[in-house]
Amino acid sequence: MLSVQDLTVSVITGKTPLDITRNVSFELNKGEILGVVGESGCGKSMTALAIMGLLPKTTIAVRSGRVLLDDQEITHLEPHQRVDAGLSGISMIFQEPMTSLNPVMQIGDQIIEALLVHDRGNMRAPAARAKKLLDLVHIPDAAMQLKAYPHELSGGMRQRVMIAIALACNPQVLIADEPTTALDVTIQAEILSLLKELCEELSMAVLFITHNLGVVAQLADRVSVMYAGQIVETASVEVLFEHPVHPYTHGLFSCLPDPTKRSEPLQPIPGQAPLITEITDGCAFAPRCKFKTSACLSGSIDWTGISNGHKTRCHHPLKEQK
Amino acid sequence: MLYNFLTSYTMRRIGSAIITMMSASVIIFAFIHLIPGDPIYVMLGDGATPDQVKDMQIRLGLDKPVYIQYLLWLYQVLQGDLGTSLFFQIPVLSVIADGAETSLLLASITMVWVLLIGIPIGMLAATRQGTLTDQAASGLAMFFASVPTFWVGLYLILFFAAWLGWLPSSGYPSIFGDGGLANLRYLLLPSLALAAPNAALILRLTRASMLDVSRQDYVRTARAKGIRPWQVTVKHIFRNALLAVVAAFGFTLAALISEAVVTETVFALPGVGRLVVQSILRRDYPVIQGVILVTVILYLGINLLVDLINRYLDPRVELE
Repeated sequence: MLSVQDLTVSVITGKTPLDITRNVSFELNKGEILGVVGESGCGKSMTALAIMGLLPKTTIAVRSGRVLLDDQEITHLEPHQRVDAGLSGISMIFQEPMTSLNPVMQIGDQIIEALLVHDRGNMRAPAARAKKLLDLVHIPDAAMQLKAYPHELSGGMRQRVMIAIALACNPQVLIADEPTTALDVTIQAEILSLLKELCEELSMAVLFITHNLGVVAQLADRVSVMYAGQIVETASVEVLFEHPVHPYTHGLFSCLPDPTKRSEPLQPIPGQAPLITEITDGCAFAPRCKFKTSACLSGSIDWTGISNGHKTRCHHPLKEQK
Repeated sequence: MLYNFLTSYTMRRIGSAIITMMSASVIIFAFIHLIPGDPIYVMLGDGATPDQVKDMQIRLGLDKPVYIQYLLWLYQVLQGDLGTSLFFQIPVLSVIADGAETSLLLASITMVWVLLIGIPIGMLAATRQGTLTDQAASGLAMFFASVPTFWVGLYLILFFAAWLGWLPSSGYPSIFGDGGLANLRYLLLPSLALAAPNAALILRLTRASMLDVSRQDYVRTARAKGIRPWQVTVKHIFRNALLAVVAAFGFTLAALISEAVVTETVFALPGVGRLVVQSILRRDYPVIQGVILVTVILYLGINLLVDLINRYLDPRVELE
């Protein structure tokens, strides 16, 4: 349904473009939840904004590659252009529910605004439909809350409102960019279960972006791991957690605290992720990788298939079980 | 519930304005005592006889204790009695009222210019950030914010009155007399001169504030909804940028009051500003005192209004 092909997003202000993401490709099917995992600055959010058509075009733009929704190209269309073209099937919720709602507008109006754009055939009783959306995202006392201002709601409630706004756009695909990072753990669990429920009820696909492996395990069907602007490993959740093959993915798991191994120190990945200005030929992870050989230092690293649906960009995928 | 809350904010805000007014009244009252030397001799001149001095003391109430003097003064002020002008020998309030028509009209027309020029061009510059339009608008704004009002006034007179002869350069006959509303043309140049620095200020503020708001997360949310770019600009960016602009109106009006003094002098307008200048030269202390009092009331009133408007525009505003 959503197909991202070789997407390269670049900063275009300098003489030579600086690539933030390089050849990012994935498919997202109806009703599926794809988790994208990676550290801050690895290009997850930029990929999301590029798919949404929300890049600040004068400074950061899609340099090559395509985004297709139901086989229609939408790569360079902004959301309002997609509405005009009848291709507005993607919605997005963001990391900061505290700042993502207009502070001087009642939340009902903010939902209705989206409803009126995406459902022109049905202009009647938008308030009633906005209330239904608030019910759908489990906001208690929905009729009252329509008149509330964002500052009167908690972070969790605001994120539910954001989801309601996203749903008002009638999406086939929902992009969730770290939607629970700013929330308490208990609220986080509520929002995650809400997303899962909506995904099933509305048979909506979800692209879930996070740096939190635990959240991915809980929610996603498939996972793509991103490093330095590239997807380095893709697999189903079960396979990836059971048998990560890219040294970076493996390193991520080693960083997780394990209560059964309290006496052993955590094993952080040595070194630091490269800045986008430092990325050269070869594997971007090579400088931090203990398995690297001379082959890793030049050319582009192609996909190696591990098993059905499991592949990695690595010359030396790990063999042993985790 | 919301209504009660709103009313209580309004009440508290009015309460604080009254307290400020009372504090100001003490300072204004003390003004007459700030006159160097004995105010009686300053007012009457060195040749005053002891009888005249005694008379004046009693007339001004200076023979009584200070706090009694204050209360008496306050009592009179509350009844609208601001004393008698030493120069005109008529009540101060009617001296001020004579200049009020000119000054109020001048201020109103100026504010219309400020809003009409400052806000739309500021919006335009922000939506075209970095383009030639933006640079021209920002550059001109910088220029007009920097040059003094009287300079702009003199050039306006030179250009539109002396060279082109389109508009009168000085004076203002009342719109209630001969000529009627057409007399407003006398206020065109002065109001433009007065508007120039303030419009420039509002322009720059509108632009900066719109650029600031356009980087906010909620603007991205609005764009993500797929609404039209102009709707994003008006409903989300401008609506929030307006908060800072409205808050600045209070300061703009305060600046207007002091700049009006210069402008009214340059254009020889019979307004309150020129009255102040003349009264200072004439040492007409009761008039100066009266004008200060009226100005303070006006200033507090405007700021009260601005705060209440902001409370209406921004649901988050709370008095701490």
